[in-house]
Amino acid sequence: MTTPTPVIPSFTDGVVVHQADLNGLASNLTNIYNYLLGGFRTQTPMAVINQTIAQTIPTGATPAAIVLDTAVVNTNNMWVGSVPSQITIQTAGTYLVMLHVEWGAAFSGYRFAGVTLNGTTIPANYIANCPYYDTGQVSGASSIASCVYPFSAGAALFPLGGQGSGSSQPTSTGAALNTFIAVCRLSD
Amino acid sequence: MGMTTMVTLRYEGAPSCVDCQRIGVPMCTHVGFHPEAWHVAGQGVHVAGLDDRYEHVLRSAEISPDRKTVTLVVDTVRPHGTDLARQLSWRPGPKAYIRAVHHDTGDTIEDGRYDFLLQEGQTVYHGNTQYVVHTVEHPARDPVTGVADGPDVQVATLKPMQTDTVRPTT
Repeated sequence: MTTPTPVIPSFTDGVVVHQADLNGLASNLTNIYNYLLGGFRTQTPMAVINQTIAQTIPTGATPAAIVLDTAVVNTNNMWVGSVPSQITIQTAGTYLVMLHVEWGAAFSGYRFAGVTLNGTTIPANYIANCPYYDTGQVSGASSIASCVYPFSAGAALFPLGGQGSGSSQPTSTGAALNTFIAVCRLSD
Repeated sequence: MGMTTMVTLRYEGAPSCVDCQRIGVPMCTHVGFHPEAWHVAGQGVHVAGLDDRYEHVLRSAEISPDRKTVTLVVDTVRPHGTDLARQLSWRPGPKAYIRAVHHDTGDTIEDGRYDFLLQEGQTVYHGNTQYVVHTVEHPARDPVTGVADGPDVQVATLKPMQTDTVRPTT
């Protein structure tokens, strides 16, 4: 919703100010007051898309696209359920992007999360990735990848996650936010 | 860059005006197209047969010596839109590989790299030809992981938009 623009009357030096002009000015001041109370503002393009259904991630250097299923915040319609593993930028600008992959089991081996732009090929399409290697990690460990990046309208982001434990591993669910991606426009 | 259309208008009325007819003059130059009325080059015009979704600007008007025919040269301005033939990028970072394919013939319209992926239902241009994106596919992606091993090409099938730019016959 965009903020309505009040029309402020103008006054000319030497011209008598009439009641209607003063009433109009008072009316617009009242409108501005009400707008501030009502919190009218242009909504910032933002998406926080969560995964509530656990996903099994295969082992290996090739990651899997994270399948998201629930929109917590989705102004600007950047995510649709029919294309669950993609965020589509609708308004060009510079965005903060953060992917959080929460692992549902304790396992040894490397794990990583990454975000690609305009394609899913790694490493060519990476704009953010976070690999690390752990042994004996407890359940609930997370992989986080983040960046601040400029995007065109229509640019597509893909959340990816992978691990090298030697067998398939599940992601974790149950909390308000588990595995999720957050995308927020910071500026033009 | 737009399109240019030649439009011919013909005067189909009586060969002489009513005043000349009254005094028995069979043919006069009071009827037909007058040059004074056609000094409108550079103005936007509407002409029957030209698609009114576009802006049409009169470039020139040529009147025949008998004033019975005027030929208009009209430039049609294409509205702002994504032109797949112009692979211009103003953002850094990885580009989308898009192969645009004609829906009817299967021919490749364009192979290019862009700052965005195409979405179904989106209107795009290739030069002066307007298309709608019918379907998009990513054949290189593994069906299990959803990730491509190699270039992740988006194959977009484009259907040409139907526009009526033919002047109906009278």
